[in-house]
Order: sequence, then C-alpha cells, then structure tokens
Amino acid sequence: MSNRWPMVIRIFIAILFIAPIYWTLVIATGARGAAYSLPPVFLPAFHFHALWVVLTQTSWMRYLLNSILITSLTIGCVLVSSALAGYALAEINMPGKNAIFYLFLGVMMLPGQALLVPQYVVMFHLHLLNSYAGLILPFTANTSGIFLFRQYFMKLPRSYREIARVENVNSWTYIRRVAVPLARPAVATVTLLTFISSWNQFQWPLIMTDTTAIDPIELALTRYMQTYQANWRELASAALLALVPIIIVFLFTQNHIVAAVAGGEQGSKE
Amino acid sequence: MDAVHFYDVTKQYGTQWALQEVTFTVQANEFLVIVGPSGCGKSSILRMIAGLEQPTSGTIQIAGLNAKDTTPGERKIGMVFQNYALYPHLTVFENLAFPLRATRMQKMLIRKRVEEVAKLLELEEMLTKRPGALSGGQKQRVALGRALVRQPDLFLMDEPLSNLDAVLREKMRVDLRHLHELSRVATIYVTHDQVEAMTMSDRILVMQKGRIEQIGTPHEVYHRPATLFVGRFFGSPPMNVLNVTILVRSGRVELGSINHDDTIPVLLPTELGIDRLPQNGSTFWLGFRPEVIKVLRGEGIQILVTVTHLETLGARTHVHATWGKDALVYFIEHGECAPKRNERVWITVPYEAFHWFDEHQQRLDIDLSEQTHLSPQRSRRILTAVNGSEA
Amino acid sequence: MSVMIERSRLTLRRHVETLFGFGLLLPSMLIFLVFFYAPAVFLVYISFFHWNIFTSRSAFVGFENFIILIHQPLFWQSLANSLYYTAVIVPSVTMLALGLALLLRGGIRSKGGSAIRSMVFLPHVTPVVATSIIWIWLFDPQFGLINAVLGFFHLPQPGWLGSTHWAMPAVMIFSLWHSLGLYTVLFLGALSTLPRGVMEAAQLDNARSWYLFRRIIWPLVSPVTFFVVVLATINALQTFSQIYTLTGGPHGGAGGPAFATTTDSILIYQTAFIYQHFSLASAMSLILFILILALTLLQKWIADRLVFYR
Repeated sequence: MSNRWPMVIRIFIAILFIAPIYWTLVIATGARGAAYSLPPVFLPAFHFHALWVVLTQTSWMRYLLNSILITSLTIGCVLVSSALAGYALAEINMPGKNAIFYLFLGVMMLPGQALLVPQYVVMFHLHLLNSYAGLILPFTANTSGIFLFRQYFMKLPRSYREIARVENVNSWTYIRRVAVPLARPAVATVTLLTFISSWNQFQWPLIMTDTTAIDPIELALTRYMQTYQANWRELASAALLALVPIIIVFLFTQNHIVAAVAGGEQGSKE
Repeated sequence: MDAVHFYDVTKQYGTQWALQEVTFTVQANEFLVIVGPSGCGKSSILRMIAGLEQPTSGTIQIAGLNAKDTTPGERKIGMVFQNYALYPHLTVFENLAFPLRATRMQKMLIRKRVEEVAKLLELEEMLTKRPGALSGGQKQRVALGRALVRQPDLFLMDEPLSNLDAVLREKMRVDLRHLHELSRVATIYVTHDQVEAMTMSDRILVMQKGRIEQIGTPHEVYHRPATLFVGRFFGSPPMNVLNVTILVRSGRVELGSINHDDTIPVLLPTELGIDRLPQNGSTFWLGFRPEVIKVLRGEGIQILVTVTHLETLGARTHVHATWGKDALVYFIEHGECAPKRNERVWITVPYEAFHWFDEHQQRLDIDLSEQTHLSPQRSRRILTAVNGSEA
Repeated sequence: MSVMIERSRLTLRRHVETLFGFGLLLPSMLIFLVFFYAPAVFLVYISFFHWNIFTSRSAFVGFENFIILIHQPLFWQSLANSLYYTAVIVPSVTMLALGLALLLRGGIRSKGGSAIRSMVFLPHVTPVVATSIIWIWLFDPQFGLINAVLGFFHLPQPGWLGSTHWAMPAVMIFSLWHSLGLYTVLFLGALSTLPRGVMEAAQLDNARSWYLFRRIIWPLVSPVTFFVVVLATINALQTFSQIYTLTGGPHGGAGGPAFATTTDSILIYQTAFIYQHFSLASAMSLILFILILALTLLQKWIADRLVFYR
C-alpha cells in the first residue's frame, strides 16, 4: 500500500510543508513592493537591503543576544537539575521516592495555559517580573528531562555503582565522573529539546515583561509587527533572521531531534 | 586474626530464603572457594561481605570489626565482578587509577602504583586503550588490577573466569593462585565450577540452597564428602550412587536397590560384617567413584552390570553400564580389553572406597575393610551406625 | 548497648543517603512547587476572591466571579470558539497525520525518505510568531499566495483573516501546518513497530487495503492514536501564540474580526493582562483547567474501551 505511492506525491507534500519558510525568504529578499505583486513572486531576488536595515537599524542584535543568554542559561540549569533528579530517582533508595516520582509526573498533567494568571501573581510577589531570572528560572526544571535521565541511569549496570562503593568512591564523584559522562546521549537530547522550547518561547515573556530591553527574539518580532505594519520586506527579513538559527540547528540534528521527540513523548506517557 | 567470620547469618529476600544459619570462618591468608549450583546463596555471601547487602539476621565480622559498623568503602576490599565492571568511557589506565583518585594520593604516586600493577598483570601495552577494544582475558586482568591497586586486605571474586574460554580459564587459574601466593591476602572466590574449587583453594565451602554442606580442604571434600551432594559435586564424571537397603535372605546379606529387583550379595570377610551395616530397615545411599572400580579383580563388593555404551577419550575409556535401573560409570585404561555393548561384566568396588550416606544423605562412617581393629571408639561408632543415625 | 550503637550507625548511614537523595531532587522539586503547584493552588483561591494583585487586598466573594462570567456573552463565545477549534483540529490532525504516515512510510529509512520526514517535521520546531508573519501574507485576500492559487483554479477566494467566517479556518490551517509534523512522526514511529510480514503480505492484494487498514493497522496503532488525540486536544484547547499573532495581537486586536477567533486562552490573556481583571481571568482559567482535565479523563475512559494494547 505504501510503496505504491510515487515519490512525486511525497516530494510534493514535503514541498508544501517547506513552502511558507521558502516564501519568507522570497519576500524578504524580493524587490520593493514584491509582496504586492500579482501574480505573486516565486523566486527570491537578491535584494538584501531590508535585511540590512533590520540588522543594523533595529536592536535585532540585542534581542538575539537576549535569546542566546536566556536559552543557554536555561539549558545549563535544566541539564543539572534533570541529571541530578534523574539519578536520584534511578539509583537512590529513599522513602518517599515514589511520591516524588508522581509529583513530577503530575506537573506534566497541569494545563499551562490555565496557570498563567496565578503564575503571574507568583512572579509578581517574587519580584521576578521584567527580569532575565523570570524568563529563565521557571524553566530550569523539566519533567521530560528528568525522565530521560532516569531511563538512562537505570540502564547502567548495577555493578558500576557497586564497585565504586567498594572502592570508597562517594556518590557525588560517581555521578560526576561515571554516571553523567555515560549518559551523553541523554545530555544531547535534553539540550536539543530545551533549546527548541526555550528559543521559541513567546507567551511567557509576553506576559511577564513589559519593557523591551530583555525581550527574546520571538517577542521582539511582534514588536516589529507593530513598527513595520505593512513593510513586508522588513517584516519578512526579521522573521527570516529569527528562523535561521533554529533551522541551522535542525539541519545538523534532525535525525536526533525526530527520534527524541517521538521517543520522548511516548516514553513519558508510560 | 581471622579475615572474615560469619555467625548464624540468614538472608531473606521477601519470602525467599537465600541463606539459612550460615556459620564459617575465613582465616587470615587463605584462599577460600565458595562453590555450589546457581541460587545456592554464594553470591549473597560475597555481597554481604562487601557490604552491598545486609544480613536479615546474624553477625558478620571482617577483620574483627562488626560489619554493621563499616561502609563498603571502609573495609579495604578489592572486588572482581563477573562482568568486570570496567567503565567504558575511561582508558585502562584511568580505570585502574579510578579507585585511587578518590583518595588523596598524589598524582605521581597514583601513576607509579598503576604502572606497577600493569606490569604485574602484563597490561602495559594496553594502558591507553578503552575496555571496548580489549579481549575478555584482558578485561579480566584489568578488573583484577583495579582490585589490586588499592592494596586491599581482602579479595572478593565473583565467578571471574566464567566468561572466558576453556584455555584461558586454565591459564588464569594458575595465575590467580600464583598471585595469591605472592600477595598472601585472604581471598574469597565464588564459582560454580568444581575444577576451579579443587585446583585453586586452600579450603572449599560447599553450599546448596542456602545451607553449608561442607567446609574442608579439597582433599577432605573429595575423599570424605559430608553429604551425598558434596560427593556428587566433585569429580568428573560424578560419583556413582546407588540407593539401597539391607536385605537378609537365607542367611546371606544383600544390598537391594530401591528402584529395581536386582540385589548385590555382600560378602564380608569378618563376622562383624553384618553389624557394621545399618539394619533397621532404612534406606541409605552408596557412593563410589568411577576411578576405584576394578574389573574382575581385587577384594570388595562385586556387582554384575550391563554395559550400555562406551566413550573413548584417548588415554582412557569411559564405560557406561547399568545395574538394574541404576546407571554407573567406570574406567578402562588404554590397552585393557574393552567390553562390548550389552555385555554383562562383573565389577569390583573395594570396601574402603565406599561412601555411605544415610537416608538424609548425610555421611555415615562405616569402614568395611578387614584391616581394622575394634577399638572402643570404633565399637561405639558401629553401634550408632547400626542404629542408623550418624551426623 | 553495643547492639544499639550498631543499629544506629546503620540507620545513620541510611539517613545520610536519604538526605543526599533529597538534595539531588530539591532543585527540580522547588521549581515545580513554586512555579506550578503553588499557582495551581492559587488558581482556586483567587477565583473565589476579588483580588487586587498589587496590594494583595482581597475579599471573599464566593461564586460572584463565575456568575459575572456566565452573564458575559463574550465568555460563551470564547468557549464556543475554543470548542469549535478543537472539534475541527483534533480529528483533522489525527487523520491527516495517520494518512501522511502511511503515505510516507515506504522508503522512510532511505536518505530521501528521511529528508522528506525532516521537511514535514520542520515546521514544528519553528517558532510560531516568526512563521505566522509569512502566513499573514499568504492569507492576504488580495496579494496572498493562497488566494492567487485559488483564483488560478477559479475557486472562491475568501477574506481569510479579515473575514468573520474564515478567520478561524485560517488559524486552523496554520495550526495544521505547524503541528502535523509532530503527529506524523509519532505515527511513523508506531507504524515502524508493526510486523513487516503483515504489511508485506497485505501489499500483495491492494483491493483489500481498506480491510487491511481496519482490521490490522488500526488496532495496532490505536495506543498511539489515543495518545495523539489526547495530546492534540490538550494543545488545541490551549492554543494561543498563533491566534494572537495571526489575528492582530501585536496591534491590540487579538481575537479576530468580531471576536471570531477569541478563544479561551485569548480571552483570559486579554481579561487579565490588558483589562487587568485578574479575578475574572482566574475564574476563567479555573474553568479551562477543569475543562481540560475533564476532557482528558473522558477520552481515557473512551480509550479504555477502544484501544487495543498488545
């Protein structure tokens, strides 16, 4: 059944999915007023003027740096908190471990959208509004990260930990020198997934900040939409600039990401 | 001071008993092998000595200190696991150095110690490789080196040779024993292989289903097995065993099998013969090793057997035969005349070669050879033997 | 005496281990408690109060907030919009994803096949705002590509984002484009675990493909289907970013022409953060919370009857 469908149809479908991104490029680099031409343009011209304007005359660099800062700090914290928690769930015998496990599971069940208002209240009282910390801190713990690491640590042979115990190596050293280095795939996966969700964040900064200085890229884009109302070239250029980093990352890690998302979603639903 | 002392130790996993009332002592420099089939509890003993598990009840002392007072790391133990437990992301050098890095040793000292051990185990050329690139035997030596490098007071080895091929295993048996002689460190070695137990140990601890069957030197467990299980465990092919009872027929004493109607006439040279055998109607087990059986010659009990098949092994031929429904094996040396299939042959088992076990499979000390004098101790023993109870 | 000392050393060690474990778990637990569980508790609390966020002065008002809501036509419209959106999106995305997965299955392991899969998946990793921008152009009634193509085939050209009838469908189309990749990959994963013999035997006779599908494929992918449906529902009810961006949020007009695209989440956002009526917004959030949980449980109940677990 599946092998009979010609490659052409499949390619056509793939093109359909890529098309909007392609047209972002087209409009961004088109001639002035290209967005208004009828019939619509199909090929990118190579007018980089708009791109140049966006890059230099707006604070685009600043927003890019914001995103980079926020994302990298988030990734770092998520890795540490998830690896440690995953290790504890996998290896340490303690009373209440099951309760905590379900606590973590429970967070995934909470609908994020419905919590925004009370979360705003909490952020307000913690003085985290309009701050980098407010954009990073709530995301430094991640259930899928925890479960991913837990899976990985559970796969390590028991004898690795046991021989370290006999050799008088304490848990902390073991985690640092053995468990985490051996969980490199989990580190990679968590990094990638956190990168995607952190880079793409929009609603949270929208709500939790009202100064523009610390806007990450997505939020900055909506500000551009206000500034450049109908200047399609500039808008598309800004959009393109926001898309390029993540597309590049995706190109290099596509297989890993696809596997992680598909596997990770299913695994966490056990 | 004894290296290890177990007193009345039991271990329960949920509702399953892994060890029941185990008591033994490991002496300061000895090489003790704990041997037994899977599930007999030998690994549990080792893990409890290491501190990876705690006994359900009973006391364990290590170098005089109660095990409850020390963490695994404080016990100065070197351990070798069956699957080597080498860290795949570290080189051989780093694996060997790993236990030392946890201490405050200087880097120079660590390097020196690692190199010494590497030299001893012929690992010098592999120091920069990762475990993934090593053969089974090399990994085994690295695991051994990792245990050695801490200069421990006690070695624990959990079936370290079971993943190696036969040739390598033979070589390693010799090397490990040699290592023990150099270091003189008490070693407790767990295995299911009776050859390793016999060839490497100072003493053997035989276990079955969580209980100690016997502790003794290789000579003792081989020549004076305390139970039927021990008797059958050592020796390849295993000891021949007949389940018999005493029959007195028309003035003659005969041994009758439980399984079938054949009987063995027991001709005893002295009038005390009958009295030496358990006569209260209980069954007992008779064991005799293949190598003591002679064909048609010598003094002893004679059994008529039917040959079923032959296995030729070069210098020796194994003859498989049956007495009624019981199976037996005996040997024919190269050059002797080999019987044919279905031939009926008279074999002789010398009196002193018999191992007698009561119905609970415990050893009975009965000596039927005529070269014995009736000392007071002996007559006491015969009396208790006649009453059919002997521990 | 010494027995007591023995026992306490052992338990001391166990206590240390427990403490250590807690230490490892603490960072994550703290974050979850402070930023997720605490707000969940507050949600219930605030909904029943008249709450001034900034002064923290509050007055218990019981169900007053809910009663106000019930009398707001916009509240009901937003509920209707959310349900309309969800009711269309979830079946569409599930069926389309399954169809796509079946379509793309063959040769998925080849380089070309996996490239196609990546291209289908790509939209899902892209940020919603950045991609919405070009979709606004695509949907432009006069100059957009979509209407140009429709016009080429002499098909009607709707007003899309500007039209009260077509605004929501436009958002739906965007959402389909953005999320199909994820669900398709999930189905592809499930399909790859099917026994190959079954698939190959069935391909010999194509007249029975529908039969093959119903009897063999469907039961085997039903666990993933269930998962996809639940996930899609939860996501659909919480959609925000694309609606905000596509329907004029940056210009203050999120919610579409005549509130056509004002969903629950958009209304909550506006009520709370533009009109600053936190208590009302909180009451709405609580309703949304319960709605989502109820729907998920309902779906699970249904699935227990239909899903075939191997």
